[in-house]
Amino acid sequence: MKSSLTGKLTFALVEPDTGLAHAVTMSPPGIVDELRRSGLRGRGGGGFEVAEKWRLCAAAEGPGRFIVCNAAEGEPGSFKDRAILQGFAQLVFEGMTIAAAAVGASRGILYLRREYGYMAAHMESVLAARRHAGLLGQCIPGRGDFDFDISIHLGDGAYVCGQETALLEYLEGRRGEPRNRPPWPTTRGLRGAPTVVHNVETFAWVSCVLARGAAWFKNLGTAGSPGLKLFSVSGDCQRPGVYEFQLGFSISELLETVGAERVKGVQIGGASGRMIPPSQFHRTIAMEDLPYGGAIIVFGEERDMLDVAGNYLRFFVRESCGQCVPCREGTRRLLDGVERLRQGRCPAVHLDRLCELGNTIRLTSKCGLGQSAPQAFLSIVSHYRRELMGRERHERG
Amino acid sequence: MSAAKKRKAVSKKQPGTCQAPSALVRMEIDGTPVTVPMGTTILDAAASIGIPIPTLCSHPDLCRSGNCRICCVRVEGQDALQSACVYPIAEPIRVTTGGRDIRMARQHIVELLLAAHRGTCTTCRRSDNCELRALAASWGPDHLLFEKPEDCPEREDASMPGIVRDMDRCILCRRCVRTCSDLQAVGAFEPVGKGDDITVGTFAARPLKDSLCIACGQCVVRCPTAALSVADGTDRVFAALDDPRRRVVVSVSPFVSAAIAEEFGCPPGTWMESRLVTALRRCGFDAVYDAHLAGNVLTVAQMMALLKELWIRFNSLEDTRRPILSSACSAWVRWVEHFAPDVLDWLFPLRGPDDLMGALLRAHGEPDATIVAAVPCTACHLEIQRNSGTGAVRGPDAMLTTVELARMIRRSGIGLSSLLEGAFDRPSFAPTDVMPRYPAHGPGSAVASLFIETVTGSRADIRFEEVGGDPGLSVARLTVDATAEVPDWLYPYIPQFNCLRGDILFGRVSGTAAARRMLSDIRAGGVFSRCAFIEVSACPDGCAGGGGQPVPTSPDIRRRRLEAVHAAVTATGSGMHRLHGAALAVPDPQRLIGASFEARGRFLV
Repeated sequence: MKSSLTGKLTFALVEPDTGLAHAVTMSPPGIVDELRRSGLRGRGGGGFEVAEKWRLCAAAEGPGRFIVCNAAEGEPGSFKDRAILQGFAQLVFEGMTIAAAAVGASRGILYLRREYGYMAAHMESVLAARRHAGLLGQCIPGRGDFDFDISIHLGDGAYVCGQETALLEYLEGRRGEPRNRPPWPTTRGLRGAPTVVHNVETFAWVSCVLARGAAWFKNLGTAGSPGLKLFSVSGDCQRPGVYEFQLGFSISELLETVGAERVKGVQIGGASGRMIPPSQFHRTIAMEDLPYGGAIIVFGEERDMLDVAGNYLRFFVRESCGQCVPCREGTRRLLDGVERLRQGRCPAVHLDRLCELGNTIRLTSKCGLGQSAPQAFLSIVSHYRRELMGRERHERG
Repeated sequence: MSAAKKRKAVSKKQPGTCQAPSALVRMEIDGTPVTVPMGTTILDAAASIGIPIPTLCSHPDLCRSGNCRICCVRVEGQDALQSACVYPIAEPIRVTTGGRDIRMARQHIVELLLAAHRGTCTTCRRSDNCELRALAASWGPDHLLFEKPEDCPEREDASMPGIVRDMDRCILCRRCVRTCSDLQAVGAFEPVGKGDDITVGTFAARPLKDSLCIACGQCVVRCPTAALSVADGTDRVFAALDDPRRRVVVSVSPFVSAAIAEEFGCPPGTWMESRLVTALRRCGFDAVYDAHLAGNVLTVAQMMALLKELWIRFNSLEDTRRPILSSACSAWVRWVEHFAPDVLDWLFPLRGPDDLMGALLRAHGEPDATIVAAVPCTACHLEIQRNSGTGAVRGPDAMLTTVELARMIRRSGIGLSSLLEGAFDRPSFAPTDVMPRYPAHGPGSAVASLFIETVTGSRADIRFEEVGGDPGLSVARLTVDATAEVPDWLYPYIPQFNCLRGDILFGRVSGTAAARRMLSDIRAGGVFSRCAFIEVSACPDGCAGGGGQPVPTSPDIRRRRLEAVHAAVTATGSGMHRLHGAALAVPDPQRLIGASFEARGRFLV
């Protein structure tokens, strides 16, 4: 794990619980204001402003409030949340506690995917230590009225449970399927109560922002995407791993850092992201240009882009929750299209139809998962069309 | 709004109900300004100004789900299209319901559904009443652009008598899932699996008969395609009719007469009884009887049992106040057997009217005939099963639901418009001077009416009022001030009516989810615990909304059918007891009218 800025991750440099110590001296709106000044956006991929989410949650009416930390990390190629939980769980729980102080929540839940179940014992010990130190439970220092505790909920592995409303449904004991929105979780989330749901990394950054101050964070990155962010880099490169970057870095910088040469394309944002061809490697990772997810996958020159597209689509065909028509049926039809392309039986006009279908899936699916499902396929078709169409025709087999 | 209710709203995915209902929002749809209460969905707002938006997964009886996405519209400022049926208006938004994106999206969605729907319209019984086909006609493409899946037909599940489930035709709209859990509190269906493996399944993929299904058929009348349909029993009946040596008779439920016209293109609420009688004679039935009669016998029997019970309680020192529940509806009985076996002894152990009618005909004058019952119900089959082998007089030999009966008439080549009016045959047990058409079974007020007429000597208007705004629950409060003489035929049951003076409550419940709420109300000591008698039917709005009735169904359609039945009811209760006496004048009347139930519980091992 390396930082492009200092060589060492910020999470390792920040003293745990200084942020919380700072936060408890502030009023709840003060905490929200501090985050607003930092410009921190959610690190899960949606990029919603953290302070705004908290403001909406604090302003909503409800029986209690919840803080939910989403450690579903189901995106293929993403492993930075695992690294954060293993190395810096303190910061995550601290961030959840700060969020609770800001919105007035008394209960937090860490949703841990089943594959990370081996970490549960470690998480519990961190939580126990925090309770012992008075950082959780009824007597948080400096705030007599503040009562907050965190429990761990193990998931069962469905990719869709990473979608925040599906996650809430799952936590309520139902089938993990996305809800209709509005109302948003900040108004009506877990068990009808206003709920803040963030990704693991977001909570860790909350602690850092409170520890080092909003100005420090705001001065890093770009105007629209301030700060630092962790990326899981994998694929055809010499030094895969977790990297910390200032937002606004270009893809060529990234490739140089991770030691990738003769690159055919870079998938930004995992399966739900998009493929960037070499002609666009000058582009930058920031909300203003290429929205970020946690996963960056490098594809070398020998990779077959049709295989890549088919692989991503197969993932969505399997992982769609099956609730809404465009995502459930549409991804299947796109995969059929990939098969046709492979057999050299897909005329250009049909490929255009597939792209239109992809556009419908993007526009009409119920949740972000479905809306981003065709993205990899669409970007590959638009940048590698000649490669895709250049298959020799062979019979169905 | 209470916290509990909010939670319920969330679980039902009905957003936007948290605002004060009085708040209004001014918004715009396709350039037309409209002011709606806060929380109204875009779909409803559009409908209020006559802008049609197609729907598929939504149904007037069910919570909105937003899973088919056919109702997608554009909300200005949002990247993705939104589902109009679930989008609550909470701010002054601008909505567009047309344009290329939306047109293409709807075409795609229809096409995706067609590509996953393995059905052949030419051999499908729902083909001229199929919501998918109707959508395809308006929004679908001229030819399928994307491949159909490999043909791998799943096996039809026809294990439950009366209901056929064919998952090849299922388009996963989940109306059956919502019907079964929200309306009926059964939950026999649930989504199983995910991604391309998803299906709607039963517990452990068991056949329907081995699930907790109560055979109410409510899923059948809400299925947009033929994934759920009524099993066709017409061939068996035709075979009997084709046999010249066999005498075949039919009894017709009034709820069939109230709905069958819809199958022939008439508006809901068209009463078609006398022409139906002629049509059935033309089909070859040797006699056509009115199942109303059995309903009346049952009403008298229920009232007598009720009076007897009230007299016992009057003389009892213990406080045995608990309501008596009707047992005329076989799906309701099955529901109690599964989900509330501890209250089975609150039910009068009596047969349902259509089954009873068959038994009465068999015991009086038609011992060798093949007896067919035309019913609005898919659950009557359960009742025949239940009574077989118990020593009871056998009920009908075959059941035909309203839709099957209509199919039979069509297949007999009978045009309804040219038919003369006919009259029912009089069964031999009915006294010649009595043919009362008393408010019959179903969510009616028959027992309450007859009770008040008998006890006070004069008729009263029975008014049921909703309890807590729940359309499935209602209660009528009757006042007994003056009492009549106890007639001789009731003397063995109750020697005087004076003990009944005061207020007496009658309950009426329709839908088994409402019945579950009724049972919790009783346990909590609510208004239903003070009722003397509660008439329960498993289907919303009772037999008018039975599972064998024509598709579609909606609160409005069912209200019209009920009105048609009530308009046909004219006579008074006089003579009812003579009908009852004559019908049960057999050596062992219990074999005719009695029933026994079985505590099944929820565990199916």
